Amino acid sequence: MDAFKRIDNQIFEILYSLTGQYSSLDALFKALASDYFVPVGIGITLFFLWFCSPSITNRISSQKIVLASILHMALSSFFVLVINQFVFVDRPFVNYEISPLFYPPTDSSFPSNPAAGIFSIVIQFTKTKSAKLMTLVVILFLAMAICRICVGVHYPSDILGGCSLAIICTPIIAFMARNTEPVQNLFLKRLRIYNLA
Amino acid sequence: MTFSFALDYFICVFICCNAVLQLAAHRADLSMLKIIRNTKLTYLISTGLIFFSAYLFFTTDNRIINDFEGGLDANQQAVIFFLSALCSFFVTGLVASAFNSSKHKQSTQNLGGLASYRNYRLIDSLNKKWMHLRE
Repeated sequence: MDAFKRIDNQIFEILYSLTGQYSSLDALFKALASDYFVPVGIGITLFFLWFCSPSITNRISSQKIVLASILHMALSSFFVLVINQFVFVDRPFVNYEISPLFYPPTDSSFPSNPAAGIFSIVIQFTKTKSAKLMTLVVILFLAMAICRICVGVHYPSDILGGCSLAIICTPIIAFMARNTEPVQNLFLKRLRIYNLA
Repeated sequence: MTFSFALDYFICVFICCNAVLQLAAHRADLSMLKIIRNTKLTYLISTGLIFFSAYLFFTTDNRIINDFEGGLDANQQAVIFFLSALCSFFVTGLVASAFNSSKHKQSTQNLGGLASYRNYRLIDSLNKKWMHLRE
């Protein structure tokens, strides 16, 4: 456990040392780690997936991926909320007494909520046939995860914890998706009446 | 949450969603949602708009602020994103209806769903729904 903590700290120190050298690089880290850049990037990718399929069969399966992604993200975030009631881990900037590039969040560092939410969407995107979209979401996730460590608000273990939580939620979402197939079909059918799906 | 912050977020997401919708319309061949016919030009302008909206959002004010200091929390972001995306769909549809007023096909084949935008403009679709409701 100590060895793991030591490696965790070492990776954090290496990534954090990248900041403070170039102001433009710091600005990039801040934007990528922010609550807006990657979440909106993921949101517009989901929006694109909703509309982009030319055939009806592909479109229905793409739209089901969008619904599953939203549900998966919500469930992962809920589990983070539950875990945070029992576990509180200080942020790196508290332990290291450094001033982060980012605003100082007050909630628990472990597990990372953004990592859990966005990795949930990465998992659901593995079902898409588009390698380009899959690559895009993976790049967005990695950029956000690395930058949140760089700006001093997460340890690598927080990111891994968030990812693990998203993986744990996967069978639950698969079970829910299987058992709510008629509801999803009905919902999409209703939207098709208004030419929205 | 401050109103101006939420409005900035709404505008930037709106620009992004319009751009993405144009990309999707070309990919899915939804002719009546296309504003620009040329695919390469659409890809160029749309990609530019996506990056422009991000640049606009991050350079006009300090966006790295906590949700209790004027930023948006996750739920507020989700609601504003949804509203913005919905608005962008209708605005794109209405603008494309104006652009395609002479081009729309008088097809009797109604594919239903999004595929109907291959033949019908959004304005025709809304008109048809309105007439149907009035009957």
